[in-house]
Amino acid sequence: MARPPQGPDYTKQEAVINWPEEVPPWTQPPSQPDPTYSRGLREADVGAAPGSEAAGGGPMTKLAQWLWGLALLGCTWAALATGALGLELPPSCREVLWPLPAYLLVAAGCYALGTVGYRVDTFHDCEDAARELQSQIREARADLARRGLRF
Amino acid sequence: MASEEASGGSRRSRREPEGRVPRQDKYSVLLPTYNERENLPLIVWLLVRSFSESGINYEIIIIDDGSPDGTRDVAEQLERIYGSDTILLRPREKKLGLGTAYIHGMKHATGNYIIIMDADLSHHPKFIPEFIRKQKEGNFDIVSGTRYKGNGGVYGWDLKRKIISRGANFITQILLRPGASDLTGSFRLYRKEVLQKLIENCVSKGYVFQMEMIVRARQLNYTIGEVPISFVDRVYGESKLGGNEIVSFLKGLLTLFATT
Repeated sequence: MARPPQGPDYTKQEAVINWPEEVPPWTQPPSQPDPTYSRGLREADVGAAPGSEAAGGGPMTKLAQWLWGLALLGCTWAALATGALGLELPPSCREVLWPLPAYLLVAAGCYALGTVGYRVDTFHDCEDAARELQSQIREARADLARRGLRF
Repeated sequence: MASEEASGGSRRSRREPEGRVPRQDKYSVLLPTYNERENLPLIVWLLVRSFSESGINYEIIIIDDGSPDGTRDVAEQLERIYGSDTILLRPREKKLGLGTAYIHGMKHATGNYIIIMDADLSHHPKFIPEFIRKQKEGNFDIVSGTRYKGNGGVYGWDLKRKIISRGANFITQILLRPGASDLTGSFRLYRKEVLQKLIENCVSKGYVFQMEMIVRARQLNYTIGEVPISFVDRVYGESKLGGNEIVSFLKGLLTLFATT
């Protein structure tokens, strides 16, 4: 069943009135510029993006999750910093806002170096385990030789 | 044997209705080997002792990939000493991948759990009872040994190796958020059907293979428990971490990052 290509045909008024409820919008031919259709699609896309795995939607790769997150942060920052939202931020706020990405990058780098450094420093040296293993190896060799193993 | 007596006892003590649970848990250890003539008898001896002390039903499957150093001969001697129901030899003609070694070994495994470990003595069998306890505690699909948590650690690594290891682990955690702290380790316990499913889904090799197993496990919603282990780097034989390994690790990491 195809939608009539022109405007409402008054000879079939009933069908025209009922039509939008009977047929879901996504079954409409895409050639029809329908504002509800395209808005619905965009909302569904955005809504599915951040937690699509948890929501049981299509799997999203880790790369895509990162890109989404960065895009979201980037857009927020750009909108605030350029004043695109029409918000009048106090000048002191703007001064902080402009170099914020650079600050965050440096902070992330420091966090990474600090964390890795701390973990390297606290990495356990299992001296005891090595000693225990050496004595068990001697024990094993003696026992296996007694059982007739030729090494 | 002591192990049989003890396992019979634990079966009675669980008081399960006759016939409803026909099979007791059995653990199949897969030992892929290549030139491990020195280490194989020792690891088998340690495994047998650890299992019999804790009364666990087990078998050891040795998958030797045609080692030229006579590993197979030693394995046959071990089979004679410990019996062919405890030591199963399932050799292959030549060196093939680790994933296929696991598939090959699993075909012959009669246990409902599979334990994977290195045969070079870097993984100590004393941790296996802890793995089993952990698995029962949380009814986990996978229990992974970890060098990076709790009392876990390493022996025989210099500062450079530690930095590379910690750095690689940090980047991996940030990028993949895998839900397990040690991705490149290979001392793990799996439910048999879970391991089968994971191997079907994994495509990579080497270090990345172990990493991909955990990442896929996450995707398939399997649960993962962790037990801290001490990793004693190869006592006999060479252990290398060259530039090639680092490059292939990074490639694998980025591939997983972009595709999972």
